[in-house]
Amino acid sequence: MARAVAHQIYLTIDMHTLSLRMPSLLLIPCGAIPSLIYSFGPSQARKSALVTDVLALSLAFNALSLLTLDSFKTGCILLSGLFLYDVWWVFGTEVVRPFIAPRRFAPG
Amino acid sequence: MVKVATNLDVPIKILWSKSLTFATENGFTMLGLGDIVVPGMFVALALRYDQHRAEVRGDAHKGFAKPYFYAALSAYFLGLCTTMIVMHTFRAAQPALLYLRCVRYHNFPGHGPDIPDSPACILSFVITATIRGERGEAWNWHDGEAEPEATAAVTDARANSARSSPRPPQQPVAPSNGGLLSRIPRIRWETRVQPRSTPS
Repeated sequence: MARAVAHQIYLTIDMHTLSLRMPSLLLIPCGAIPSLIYSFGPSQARKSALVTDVLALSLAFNALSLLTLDSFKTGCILLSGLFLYDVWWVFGTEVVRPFIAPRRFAPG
Repeated sequence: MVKVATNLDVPIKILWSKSLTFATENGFTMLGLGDIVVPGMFVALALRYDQHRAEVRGDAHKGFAKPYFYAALSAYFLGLCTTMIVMHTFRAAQPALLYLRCVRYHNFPGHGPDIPDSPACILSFVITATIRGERGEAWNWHDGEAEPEATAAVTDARANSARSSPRPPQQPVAPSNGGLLSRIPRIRWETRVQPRSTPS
């Protein structure tokens, strides 16, 4: 009943082996398209939200699947560091302008 | 005030247009990758802790209770909502800055301010653990998956390499005649057909 249905392709260079399924191998060029657009496309492409989103989400997905924490202590330390970094980013740099502005008066 | 001078041109943020038709005139809302990955790792850790607790109880097969996971996920979501609401409120009071600030965000290699996320995630964990009365145990829990591998590496390196999966086919022994030819890295392409493992 258990037929052989999954093909594994092994690429071996010296002692390193990469194993892929056939669909993954055939989709590698497809997956390279957003990166190529972002790297070599016109600067208009870089400002496009779509390409940025695709690449950023791919990075986030892979980062979350590769990185793991080992305890809540480590997690809390990291989150505290992120908190301090965010506070510095908002109040210590000029990225977010301070929340005071001259009032605009309507003409007439 | 520090002026951030470097301009990183890499996709390290998620953009969403502020106008309904996806035009670029109003600029974009930004969410930096750091604000996704670090709280995301925390939420994933909460899920692993729930699975660990279910394994200890003995019902880790499917549909185990996930209190820590839901708490962390809701806290992260509420933190993001809070950020958006605060940004909108401040902007409503400063109409003159509306378009200026949007344009500034758009061209800048940074991210939107995301201050409430980290305290929300930490508090979700503390509150959930306190409510369930297992704060000490949850705080001292260590993800045990790393430990067996570490001890095995210390004691038996060969067993550790045998544990890595998937098992590649037998490595060909390079002919050791000492010449340059033996130093060319060998590239082998091999196709194997494997029966599909049990449905997961």
